[in-house]
Amino acid sequence: MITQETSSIFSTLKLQAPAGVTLAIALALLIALSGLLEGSARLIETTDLIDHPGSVGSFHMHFDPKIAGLRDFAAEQGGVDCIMFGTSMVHRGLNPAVIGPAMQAAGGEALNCYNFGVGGVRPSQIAVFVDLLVAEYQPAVIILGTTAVEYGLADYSPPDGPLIVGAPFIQHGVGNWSLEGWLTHQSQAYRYYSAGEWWFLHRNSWQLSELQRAQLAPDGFGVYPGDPEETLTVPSLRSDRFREEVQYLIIPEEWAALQAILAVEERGVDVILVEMPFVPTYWTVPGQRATYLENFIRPLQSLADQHDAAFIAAPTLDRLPLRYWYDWRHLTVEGSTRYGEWLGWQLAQPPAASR
Amino acid sequence: MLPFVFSDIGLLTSWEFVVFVAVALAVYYVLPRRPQNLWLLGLSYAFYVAIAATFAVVLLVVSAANFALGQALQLGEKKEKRWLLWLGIILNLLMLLYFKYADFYVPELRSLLMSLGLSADGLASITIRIVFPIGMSYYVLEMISYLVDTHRRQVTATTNFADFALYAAYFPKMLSGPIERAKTFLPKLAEPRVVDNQLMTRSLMLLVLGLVRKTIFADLLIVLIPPNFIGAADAFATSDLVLYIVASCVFLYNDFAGYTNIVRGISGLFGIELTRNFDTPFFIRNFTEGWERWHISLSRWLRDYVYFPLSRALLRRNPKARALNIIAPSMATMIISALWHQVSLSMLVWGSMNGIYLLSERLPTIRGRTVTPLQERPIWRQVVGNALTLTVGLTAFVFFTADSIAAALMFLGNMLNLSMAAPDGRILVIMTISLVLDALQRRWGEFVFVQGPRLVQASLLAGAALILLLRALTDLQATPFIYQGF
Repeated sequence: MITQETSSIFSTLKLQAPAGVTLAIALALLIALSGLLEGSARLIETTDLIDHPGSVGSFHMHFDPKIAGLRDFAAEQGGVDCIMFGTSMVHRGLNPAVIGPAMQAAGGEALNCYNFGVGGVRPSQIAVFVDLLVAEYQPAVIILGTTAVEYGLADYSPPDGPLIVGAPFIQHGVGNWSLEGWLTHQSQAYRYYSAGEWWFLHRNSWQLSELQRAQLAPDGFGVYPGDPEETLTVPSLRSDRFREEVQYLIIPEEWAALQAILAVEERGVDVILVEMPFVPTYWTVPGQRATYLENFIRPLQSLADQHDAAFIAAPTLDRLPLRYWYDWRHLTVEGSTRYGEWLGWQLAQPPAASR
Repeated sequence: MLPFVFSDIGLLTSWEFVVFVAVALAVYYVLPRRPQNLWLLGLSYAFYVAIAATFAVVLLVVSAANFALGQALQLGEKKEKRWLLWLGIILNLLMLLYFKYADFYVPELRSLLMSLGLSADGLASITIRIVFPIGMSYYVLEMISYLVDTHRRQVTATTNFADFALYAAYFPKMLSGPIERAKTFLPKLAEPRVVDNQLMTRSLMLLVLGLVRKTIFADLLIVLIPPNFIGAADAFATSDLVLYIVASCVFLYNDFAGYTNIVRGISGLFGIELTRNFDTPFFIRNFTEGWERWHISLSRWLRDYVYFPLSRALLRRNPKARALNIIAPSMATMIISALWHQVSLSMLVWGSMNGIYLLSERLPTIRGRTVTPLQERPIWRQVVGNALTLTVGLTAFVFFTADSIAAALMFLGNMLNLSMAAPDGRILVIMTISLVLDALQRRWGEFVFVQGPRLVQASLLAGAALILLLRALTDLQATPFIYQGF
C-alpha cells in the first residue's frame, strides 16, 4: 500500500494516499472467500451433501471418478492391498468383488483390490498411473491386465491416454509443479469448480462420464449393464489391416513402459501380469495364436521372470464362450464373474503353479 | 530469442503478455519522458517482431513514408499539397489492398493471366504467398487520418520521427485499435504523463472488465455456440437459431469490447488514455445511434474521412439533389465499412443493409421534417425502437457471419419454420450477465464499478479476480481475439 507520494524519480507514477486500500481490501476478501469456499467444499464432501466427488481436471470418464473412488475406497478400507491397472478391458473385465472371494475360497489371502482400469490408455500412460498411485497408496500388489494390442501400432481406442497424462493433476504428481496441479491435489473446492466447468462447457462428455460413474462399483469395477438390443460386434477381422496387425509387432517405447511398471518390484510391490482374454472369434487368422505367443506372450513371460513377477495367461477359449462377451474384447458382467472366479483361483495358487 | 520467448504474445490474455507489460511498466515508470517514448517504441517493435519480423518491416516502411508525406504536406505549396494528399491516400490504400485483399485478387489474377495465354503449368510454378500483416487495417486508417488532418491544418505534422513511429506502432492499440487520431494522440506523447490514483483505478477497472468480457463471456459463449449453426441451420429449431445468432453477436461484442477494455487499461497504466470503442451497443434506439456506440473509432473515422467529405463534395456540385446527397454518402460509407471488414458478397449485403437502415432513419430529413431527439421520445417508442433495431440489425448480422449469401438466405429461410426447442440455459445465463453489466454502465456510466462504496468495489474486484484466476488456470490462452483477423 502506498501511503505517501512516491519518490521524485517516478515522474509518471504519482499515487497519493490512500492508494491501494481498495486493492488491499479486495485481496483480503479474496483470501477470506477462498478459505470460505474451501471450508464449505470440505464440509459438503464429508457430509455427502452433493453426490459428486468433483473432478481432478482430466475430464476423462474413468480417470477422474476413479481417482476419487480410490481415495474413498482406501479411506473406507483403511488402505488398499492391491490395485488393478489396464485399459477398458480391465475396467470391465476384472471384478475385485469376485476375484477376492474366489482367491480366499481357493486358500489364498484376502486382498482388498481396487480396479483402476482406464479406457483408451497404453502402457506408457499406465506406467505414470502406477508410479503415482503406488507412491500414494503403497499397495502390496499390483495387477496389470494386458494384451499385445496395447503395444502395437493398431489403435482401437480413443487417444485418451496422452490427454490424461498431460493433465495438471498427473503432471503435478510426477513433479512438474503447477498451481492448477497443486489445487487438484489439495483443494476440494477446486475439484468442485473443475467438475462445474466440465458440466458447463463439455455437456456431452459430462453426461457420458456421469453414466459411467453410475456404473462404477465402489471397488472401481465397471458394471456395464449392457443393452438388450446390443449384438456382439467384432472388428473386420479378415481385412488386410487386421492381417498386418496380428503380426503383433511391439512398439519399443511401450515395451519400455512395461519394464518401468515391473520395476515397482524394487519398491517392495509384487507385480502380477495377467494376459487379458479376447472373444474366441478373435482368433481367426491361421497361425494367429502362434504368432501371438511367439511375439508377445513369450517375451512377456521372459520379462516377468526377469523381474520376478507372476504371470497368468488367459484361460482356454472354451472357458469364456461367445455369450460372455459384449464385443471382441469386453466381457459382460456375467463373463467377468466367470473369468474372475477362474482368475481368483489362479491367483491363489503358489507362484510356480500360476505361471 | 525474443520471437521464441514471446511466441504467444499476440494473445493479450497470455502469461507472456502479462510479463511483457509488467517489465515494460517497471522500466517506464523510472524513465524521464523522452526516453519513455523511445522505450515504448522499442517495446512496440519488439512486440511486433515477436509476432512476425516482416510485419515490423512493413510497419516501419509505412511509418517512414507517411512521416515524409506529412512533412511535405506541412511545408508544401497549396497546389502540390493536394496531389501529395491524394498520393498519400492512394499509397496507403494500395498497401492495404495489396496485403489485405490478396485472397481475393490473387486467384482472379491467376485466371486473368491464364486467359491471356500463359500456360497453367508455368503459372503453377509461380508461388504467390502474401501474408496480411496483423493490425494493418487499423494503422493504415490512422496514417490516412494523419495526412488528411495535416492537409486540413487540424494537426501540425510532427518533426519527431520517433513519436510518429510510436503513434503508428504503439503496442496496446496496434493489433486491433482503437483507431487513434494524430491530433489527440501525438500531443499525449509530447507531454509528461501522469498516472494518478484516478487513472490507475480506472485503468485497472478497464483491465479487469476486459478480461471478464474476453475470458468469461466471449470464450465461454464461443464454446457453447455450435460452430456450424448457419451452414447447418436446418438441423436446428427456429428458437435455437435465434438464440445462436443473438449469442454470436453478444460473443463478438464481448470479444472486441473485452479486447478494447484490456488495451485501454494497459495504455492507461502508461498514462496514455485511448479512445472508447464501445458504449453499451445493445441499448440503442436506432441505427444512427448504433453506429455511434459500436466500434466507435471506426465509425467516427468513416464519418470524418468518408461520409462528411463525400456529402460536402456532392453538396458543392449539386446542392439541389437533396435525396442523392443523403443517399450516396450513407451507402458508400457502409459499403466501405463492409469492404474494410472483408471482401465478400455477403459482407457487401451486410454493408448495404446497414446503409439502407441508416437511410430509412434519414427519410424524414429528406422530406424536410424535424425529428424528435431520441431521449425526448416516449419510453415505449424507445423500447420499440430498441427491439426493432436489434431485430433488423441481427438480420443483417446473419450476412456478416455467414460464409456466403446462399448460406445466409438458407439460415433466414429456416427461421421461418417457427419450430421451438428448449433453449440452452448456459448461453442465456452468460448473455444475461453480460447485458446486466452493460445496463449498469448505461445507467451510471462506464466507470460505475469504481464509483460505489469502497467495500462494494473491493468485493466486486475480489469476485472478478477469483473467477479470472480460475479461468486463467484452465484455459487462459484458449481463444484468440476475433478482431485481430480483420
